[in-house]
Amino acid sequence: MKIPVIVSLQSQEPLQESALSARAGQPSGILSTTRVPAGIEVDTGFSAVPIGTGDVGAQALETITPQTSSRFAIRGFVEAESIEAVPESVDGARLFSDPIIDHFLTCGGDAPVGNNATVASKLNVAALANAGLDGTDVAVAIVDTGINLQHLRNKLGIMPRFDAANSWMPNGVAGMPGQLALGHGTMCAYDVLIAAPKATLLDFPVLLGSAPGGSTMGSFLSVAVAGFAQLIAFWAVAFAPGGANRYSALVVNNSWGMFHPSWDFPAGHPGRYSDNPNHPFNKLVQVLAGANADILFAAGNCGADCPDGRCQNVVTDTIVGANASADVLTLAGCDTSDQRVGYSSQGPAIAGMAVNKPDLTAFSHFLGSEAFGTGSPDSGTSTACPVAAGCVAALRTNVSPISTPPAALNAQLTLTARQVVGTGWNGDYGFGIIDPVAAGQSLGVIGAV
Amino acid sequence: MPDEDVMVTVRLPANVAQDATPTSVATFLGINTSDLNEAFGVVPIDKSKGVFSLMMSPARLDNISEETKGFIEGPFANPKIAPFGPLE
Repeated sequence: MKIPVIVSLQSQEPLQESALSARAGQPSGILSTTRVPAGIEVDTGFSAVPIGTGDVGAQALETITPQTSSRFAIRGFVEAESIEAVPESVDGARLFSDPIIDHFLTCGGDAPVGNNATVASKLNVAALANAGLDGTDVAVAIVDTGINLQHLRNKLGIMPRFDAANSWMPNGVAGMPGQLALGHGTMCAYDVLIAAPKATLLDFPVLLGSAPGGSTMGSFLSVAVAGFAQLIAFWAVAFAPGGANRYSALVVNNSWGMFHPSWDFPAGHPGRYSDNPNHPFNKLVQVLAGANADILFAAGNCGADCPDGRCQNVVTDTIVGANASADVLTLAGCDTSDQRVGYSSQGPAIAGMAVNKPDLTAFSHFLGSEAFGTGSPDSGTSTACPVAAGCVAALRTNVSPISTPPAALNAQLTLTARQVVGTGWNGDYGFGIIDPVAAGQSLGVIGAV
Repeated sequence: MPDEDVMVTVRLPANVAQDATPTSVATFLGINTSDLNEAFGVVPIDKSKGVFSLMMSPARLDNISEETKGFIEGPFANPKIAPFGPLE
């Protein structure tokens, strides 16, 4: 096999010329007149690099110029059975490893990458707005820990549209919709409004359910069952004759799920949630999607590179339950440089559900709501999900769910996604990064931009 | 709601499903209303098919008559859920 190496060579005129050209901004690669030991194939596209004496230890900068350096590094290839079989040197020329390198992925605890304006720019929210796609008359249910409207008002400078009457509180939980403690749900609401600033928020704080110990950062699926049943009732009334049909569409954001299989019944149990389309919650998702609500779920934070501790290092088959339903759009996360965030759960999803998950990727880990403190990023696939939900809500301003049901809209979103790695689906990005303007053009609600 | 209760579904005949309440469902199942998890109540899963969800103790579920058990599916998992936000 041909193995890439870095070769240390004694100074010679063609190497000096190559290094001088590169330093002048005119890299010329390696000249054919360079004397190289037999058995080394030179990478002619790589210019020579002066390395002084090539010895370990400090060297004066003056000894590392093209004119003064006694040795140069070039790139080449050697034939060997394996990496282990590469010799230390060939005819006195030392060989060094040239490993594949990559930049580190954004992980939890890292500083924000870009901000909400960066995200708006990357999504071309201005083009959406110019086409009148701003979420007007679209309801977006934030199924989460609750919304704090005052914080949104402080951050946005205006009070967002909010429907308290059609919001909901779990049994036994104190507080009022829209006036709940600042946290995860408010972050999600903020992120929806990036692309759909005129959408109407509904508060469904299912994660405020009765978690053991009174924690406000977790709940049980039964609370989501009750919440989704309420959403179905609301949506049925909205479309009933004489009902509250003030909304043209309903988008449901779900930035939550299960972190570890031990939270569920064991594999093979007929009542298991993870891989069972007949579980009552998965059934509710089917019914709500069948009523033409757009349902989005976050993929999860169990990506192989830097998973959440609650994943307990389980990083395969982690997209489970409703997050892996064929009836929902499942979102992976990337930062604003289009790089997958290292904690974003990777597909395929668990067998028994729709395995080609995630469907799409959206932006995360940027400075946005600061719901977790000044300077803290909106992070997790929890953020990617509402960013995408905002895009869906914006498109729904003029794309009726009657004429274009959720499955058809999702198909357009995946067809028009911006591909990052190759073509087709892959486990990191799904079908690519969401591009609402391309989808809008494909659907005929946005002209040329 | 107590997390030790288990989640089941029940397929109700049309006349019961039309106006399902904890009382009417408990009567149909031959149990007391107090046997059902009151906080959860009777939650419609697919009204068009008469499917509702309930929660009750495993002991109470075991004691339901064989005849009535034919209308019940479950128990189903009620796992803990959590937000996918800032990492721990």
